[in-house]
Amino acid sequence: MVHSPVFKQNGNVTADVVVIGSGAVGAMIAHQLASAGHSVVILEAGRRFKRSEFVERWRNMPFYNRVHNDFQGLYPQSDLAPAPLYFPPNNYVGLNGPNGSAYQQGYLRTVGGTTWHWAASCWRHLPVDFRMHSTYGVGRDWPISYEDIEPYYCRAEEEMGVSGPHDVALQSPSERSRPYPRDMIPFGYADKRVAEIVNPHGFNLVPIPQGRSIAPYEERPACCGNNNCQPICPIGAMYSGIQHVEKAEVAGAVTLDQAVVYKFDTDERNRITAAYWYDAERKSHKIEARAFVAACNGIETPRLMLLAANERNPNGLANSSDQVGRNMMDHSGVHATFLANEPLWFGRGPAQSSCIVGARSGDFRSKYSANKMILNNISRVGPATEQALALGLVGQELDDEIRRRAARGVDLSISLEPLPDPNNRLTLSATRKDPLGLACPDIHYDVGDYVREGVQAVKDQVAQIAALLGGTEVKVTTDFNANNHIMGGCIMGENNKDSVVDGWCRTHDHFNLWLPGGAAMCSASVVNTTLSMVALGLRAADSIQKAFQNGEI
Amino acid sequence: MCSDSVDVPNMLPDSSRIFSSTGGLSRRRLMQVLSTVMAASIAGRTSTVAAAEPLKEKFYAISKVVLGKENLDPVTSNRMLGALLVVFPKYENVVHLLEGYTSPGGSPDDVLKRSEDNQHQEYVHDLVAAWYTGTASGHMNAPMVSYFDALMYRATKDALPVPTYCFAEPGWWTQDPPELGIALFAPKPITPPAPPPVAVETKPAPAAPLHPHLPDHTKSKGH
Ligand SMILES: Cc1cc2nc3c(=O)[nH]c(=O)nc-3n(C[C@H](O)[C@H](O)[C@H](O)COP(=O)(O)OP(=O)(O)OC[C@H]3O[C@@H](n4cnc5c(N)ncnc54)[C@H](O)[C@@H]3O)c2cc1C
Ligand code: SF4
Repeated sequence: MVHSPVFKQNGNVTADVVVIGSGAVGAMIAHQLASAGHSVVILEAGRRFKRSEFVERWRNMPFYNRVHNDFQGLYPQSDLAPAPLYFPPNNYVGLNGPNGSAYQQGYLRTVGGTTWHWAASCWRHLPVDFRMHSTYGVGRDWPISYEDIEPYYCRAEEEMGVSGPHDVALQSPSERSRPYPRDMIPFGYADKRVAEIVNPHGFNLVPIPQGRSIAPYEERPACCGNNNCQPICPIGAMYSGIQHVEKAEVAGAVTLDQAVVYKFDTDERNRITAAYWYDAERKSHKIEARAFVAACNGIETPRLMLLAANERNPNGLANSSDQVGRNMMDHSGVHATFLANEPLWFGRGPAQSSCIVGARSGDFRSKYSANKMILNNISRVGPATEQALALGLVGQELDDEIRRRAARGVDLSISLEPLPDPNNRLTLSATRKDPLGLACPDIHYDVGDYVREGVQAVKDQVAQIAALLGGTEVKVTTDFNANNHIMGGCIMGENNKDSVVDGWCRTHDHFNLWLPGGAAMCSASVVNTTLSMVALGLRAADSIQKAFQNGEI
Repeated sequence: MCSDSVDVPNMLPDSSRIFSSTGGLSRRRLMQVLSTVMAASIAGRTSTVAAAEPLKEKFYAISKVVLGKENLDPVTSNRMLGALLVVFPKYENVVHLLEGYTSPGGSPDDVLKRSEDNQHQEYVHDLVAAWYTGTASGHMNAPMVSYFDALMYRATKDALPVPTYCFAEPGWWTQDPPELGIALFAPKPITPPAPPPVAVETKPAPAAPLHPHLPDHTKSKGH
């Protein structure tokens, strides 16, 4: 039987479960628990819009913003819940430390979360990524193994409708108990040609497993290759958290948008008894529930825990270990661009297609970071135009130069793997507050020597790949860029001496509070991390269901 | 018709270049441009900037010659003029000036050479860039005129879809792309500027003190 949340006249609510954050992680948990018959409320800080409005806003965006990736400009912000912005920068997250600028994340605060404008690469960690310390003597081991999370990887792939290679030789990793729900998105000419050229020289080009398919999947239409996955798939062929928000609602969950959670009540056993949120009118409301989930992403979850400090938990909720906000990670990356000496025509098909993973693992990992190189399959017409115009060309010469550069242009997006470092830390700003008067986050970040040393290997590999493709105008960016794979702020471990949550993403300190997603992750690997985050979310959902069944909550 | 003696440098000092093949833009000038643009967007959509009929016709005619293309959309042309009038308050004078370089006809190269003789080539480049990018100037939040019809997409339309508008059926991209059909290398050696990084770009850490973000109730909520 479906239970519904009970709303009182003053706006307060009672439910079985409150899920804070409507991104892919929160929405999937809400869907599972509502489908199991629990009354579920999703509280989401951001606003709600239709896909068509985002598409329209993107097409109406000026060239400069579009070509310089103003991915957030099409997602209107809530006045009360800012997200970090680039155009113009809003300094919502204060960055400092040796590589502060490498940590400028571009997440969204809107119903459906950041997967509105992700690229839908759906990777698994390698089995060895869960044993970094025992295998390579660096980083941390997880309290769970690849085998523990594997069934959840399968479920996450199913929920997101992932297309990946059935050919074992093309899988990374190949340890799988079930096939991908869909076979790989077929390669375009550029993928085939680059593989032909670089693979004989020891590189390993594989298809990217991705949350879209060339045939319809459940409610989703087939991908028609219009190459706009980042920042908005116009037809909804790409997986996005909004799809599970809608499924959760069909199953009975209620979503409240513009609901910014800021505080919790705890009882004498340090159980959470209620959460509080501000609505769009800045009125505060209370929700009482039996299970509480904060799936606010790797920055907002630790921030919320720190904001919610109370008398019993003076250093913040879930923070008896003093690890909340520490170990912040992201795949700090670099870009390499060049012109190949033959037309490759990147930009045909989805924005993600293939990737070189030859250097994803090996003994070198005891000394320096692995790397992963995505062959960005995003149309090069914009950058080619910017370059051709800057050359001062007109007429046919201009058309030819745009065509030539668009056909020959290559962009490699390269990720490196940071290690968890407690000094890479999110704290609450003492001076800056958001419009609700809640402290903004500050983050200190240093990519660490492990990454710095990994960059040399990257440079050598890029030089080799560019040479094989006859590259000219080879550029490798020297500053690290963020990759929006936010991890580590509420790290997982065996106990509250050095970790915030257990292997089920349940906090050590409060037995009815779960913090699933990136914040719980103990190692970054070099691959995009949302599939791992979602797998952890589904594990948390199982753990919540078990806690209900056992009468623990 | 306007003569070559129009005193353009007084109307649009060199520092007012928007698209520049020679260098960057001063921060001060950028702020001026941005504030003009913001004022324009507060005042309403750029397409509502009214231009007189003869000016529209002249602009359409010079655009065809400067670009070397006959098949330009007249509606886009009117909107482009409106947007340029917003970014360059005295753009009307530029139209007259360009008319002087285009009325003898000829190729875009001829027009460029004539304008170069008077050091007015930047006005040609600005016009070309606006039509190719579909945006009135090359800077952040500049007035936007056309997306699908931006001329840059014409050069590759047989090989690449305009993003958000797809080709044919799912999986079309497995077919071989069309022939390049032109020389693979530019006939003249060129030294291009560094390409802009794609995907998520690194930005410097904020240096200025950070302020709270107060809600702006003047913003429209009607999206
Ligand atoms: C441009 C870009 C491309 C990307 N591409 C990929 C990719 O190809 N593959 C991949 O694996 N990952 C990718 N990512 C990363 C991916 O988007 C994130 O890992 C993923 O969205 C995280 O999901 P989440 O549910 O944890 O958080 P989010 O999607 O960020 O959702 C969290 C939600 O919580 C809400 N919230 C926060 N605080 C509160 C509060 N106090 N009260 C109420 N609500 C709150 C937020 O408003 C937000 O909507 C990309 C990211 C970006 C920016
Ligand atoms: S290529 Fe187009 S249809 Fe396919 S997922 Fe990307 S944006 Fe959507």
